[in-house]
Amino acid sequence: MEYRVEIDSRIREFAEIVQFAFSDPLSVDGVGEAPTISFSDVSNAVPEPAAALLLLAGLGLLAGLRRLEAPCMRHA
Amino acid sequence: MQNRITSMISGLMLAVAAALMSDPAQALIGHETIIAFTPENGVETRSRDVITDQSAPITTSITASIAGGFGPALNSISPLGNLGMWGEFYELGRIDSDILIQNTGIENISGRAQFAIANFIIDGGFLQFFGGPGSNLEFLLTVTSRITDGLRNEFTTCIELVHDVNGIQTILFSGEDIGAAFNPVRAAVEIPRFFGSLDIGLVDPGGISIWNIASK
Repeated sequence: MEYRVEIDSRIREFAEIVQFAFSDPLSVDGVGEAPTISFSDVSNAVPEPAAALLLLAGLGLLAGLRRLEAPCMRHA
Repeated sequence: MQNRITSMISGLMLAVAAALMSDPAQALIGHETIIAFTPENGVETRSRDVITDQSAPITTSITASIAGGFGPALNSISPLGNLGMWGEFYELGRIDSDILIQNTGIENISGRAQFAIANFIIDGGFLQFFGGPGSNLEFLLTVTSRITDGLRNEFTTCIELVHDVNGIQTILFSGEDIGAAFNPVRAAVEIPRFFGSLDIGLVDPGGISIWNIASK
């Protein structure tokens, strides 16, 4: 794991000022910018559109079956 | 009695250290920072500091700093990986300011394959640049992971302020969008605080590893 920051500059012709700051080098107490790694058994993947369609189709099918079953249940 | 306990603890620590050192797959945490200024027709002024946990845990911050007629600059990294970079330059020449934090072995110890994700902070800052034609100021941040068996992922964001040889001034943003934008009142590109993440992928029981410490 690698976290790298590079600030490079080339100043030609004239130099009024080149100035930069990234975080604060005079205050580096506490938790840092360096990456923390977490492991889990599931990926963070978002469902693909096709998977979402399959899911909706399944829900629609269940709802359809429920509608077909409902009259029989009323007679019973 | 106290001396005996102290020597026993020291002996135990030495044994543990020796056991760890003998393992070729020993994880390594490394911090490195460099600042250099090279005037157009002159000698480079350079400062570099590096520390690793090869022989002992990192307990001190490292800094690199330079100062002179060209201006001052300072970089630092704390033991926990908190970092900072700052510089002001008023002279023609080349500036190189780098920080590198790496960890060669963040191991998946669960005993089964797991998905891994890296979370990190981009702590914000600014870039201001008034140089002549042919000048530029570039900010490049890269977070890289590589799983032991080779899968490599990267988060990169780059901001470049350019004054080209034709006198045209532009700001180029590339890579991941971290919300940096030019503030005309301050005449600077401001980098906001940003919480980034990088999908590392499926990691087998073993580890995540990365290369040697690079230096410029």
